[in-house]
Amino acid sequence: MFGIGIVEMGVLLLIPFLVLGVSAYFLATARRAAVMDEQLARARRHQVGISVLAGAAALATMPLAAALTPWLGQSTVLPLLPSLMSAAACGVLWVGELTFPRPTGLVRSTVLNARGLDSVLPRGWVRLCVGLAALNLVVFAAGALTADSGRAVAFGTRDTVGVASPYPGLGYVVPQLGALLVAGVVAWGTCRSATNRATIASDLDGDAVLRRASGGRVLRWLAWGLAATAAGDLLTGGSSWQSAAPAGQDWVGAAAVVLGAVLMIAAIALPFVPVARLAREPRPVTVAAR
Amino acid sequence: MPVGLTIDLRSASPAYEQVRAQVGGHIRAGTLPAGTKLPVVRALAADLGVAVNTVARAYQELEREGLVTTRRRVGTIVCDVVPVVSDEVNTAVDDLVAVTRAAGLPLDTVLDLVRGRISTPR
Repeated sequence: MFGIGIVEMGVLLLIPFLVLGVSAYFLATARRAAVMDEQLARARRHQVGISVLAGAAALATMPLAAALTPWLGQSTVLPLLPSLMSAAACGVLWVGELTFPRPTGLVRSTVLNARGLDSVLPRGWVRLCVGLAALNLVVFAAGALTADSGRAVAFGTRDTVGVASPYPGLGYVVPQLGALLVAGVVAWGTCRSATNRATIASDLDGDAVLRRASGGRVLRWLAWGLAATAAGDLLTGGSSWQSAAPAGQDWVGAAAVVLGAVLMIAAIALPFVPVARLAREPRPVTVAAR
Repeated sequence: MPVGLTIDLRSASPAYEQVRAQVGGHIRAGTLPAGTKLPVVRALAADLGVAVNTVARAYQELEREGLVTTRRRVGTIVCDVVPVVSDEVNTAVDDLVAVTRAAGLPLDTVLDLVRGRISTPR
């Protein structure tokens, strides 16, 4: 059931996403290209196109992951899905940074600007990712410490024993931690590549905005993976806790479910949060493009 | 104010030499003061659309001349060099660049003109 459901969901989301994404790509790039520096317009077109492909890669991960369920099992693949989608999207963004338009022509100008990761990483997104990573660690630690076995929670009273699963014990937490680390490494590599990619010397302000937008997109996908992973663990773990816990302790599960639901709503909204955008007015040329 | 760098691939001078000469010129003129961090090799190579080795060689030459120093985890830093070019000369060079740019003269022609003038006995 899970295999079919996730494939259908992936395809159902992928087709309208691609239609909307390609339309948005042409609308966004055609409207401003006329008033924008040529080099900046080319870079922006590249970034918007790669961003659409990153979203498509994330959605395409759903049916691909579902195809692994016969070998790995549904209970292994499903908890890893958010971080795998995040890693896939960040991977496409990384390819986008590596294939960023390079200067062409026989005479090439630039400015000597030593730039670091701080030129790429928007502080708000960094704070969000750090906060969500800390939340995931707390959820992982709490799950691992309170689980009865690797994937279940149990409460014993004088008369009865309550056991429920799935519960984010070590059996879920260790692979999730590994997958999130992979997503984090891919995101870090993408940000490094964005730092070292070619400068748009004809519009340094526009270049700074596009660089920050690159970092924003990467961290947005990373934050999405972190939020969806924590939300999934809190929702499933909280439900299992509520089922197994005796009266008086079941409020912990209810609180986890509420927090998980809030996080899930936040995760669904995250891809729609805008990153840095270029100003509507064309900027003055800072270095003569020859 | 950002310091510009331009390479001309048609020039007889190799690209690494053009980078070395221009960065060295900026350091000697004082437009790149001591302690200024230069872009990492990979970033400058991407900016100019040249191979990483091209910029690495230019930086090595600059280091050999004592104009920059490379430290691990810090990067390439401009050394404390006493500027040999006065403000008056800098202004004159700026004027020359503005005039020749407006005239659309290629860099090699401008350099040839300057070399010709300098080598002419007074």
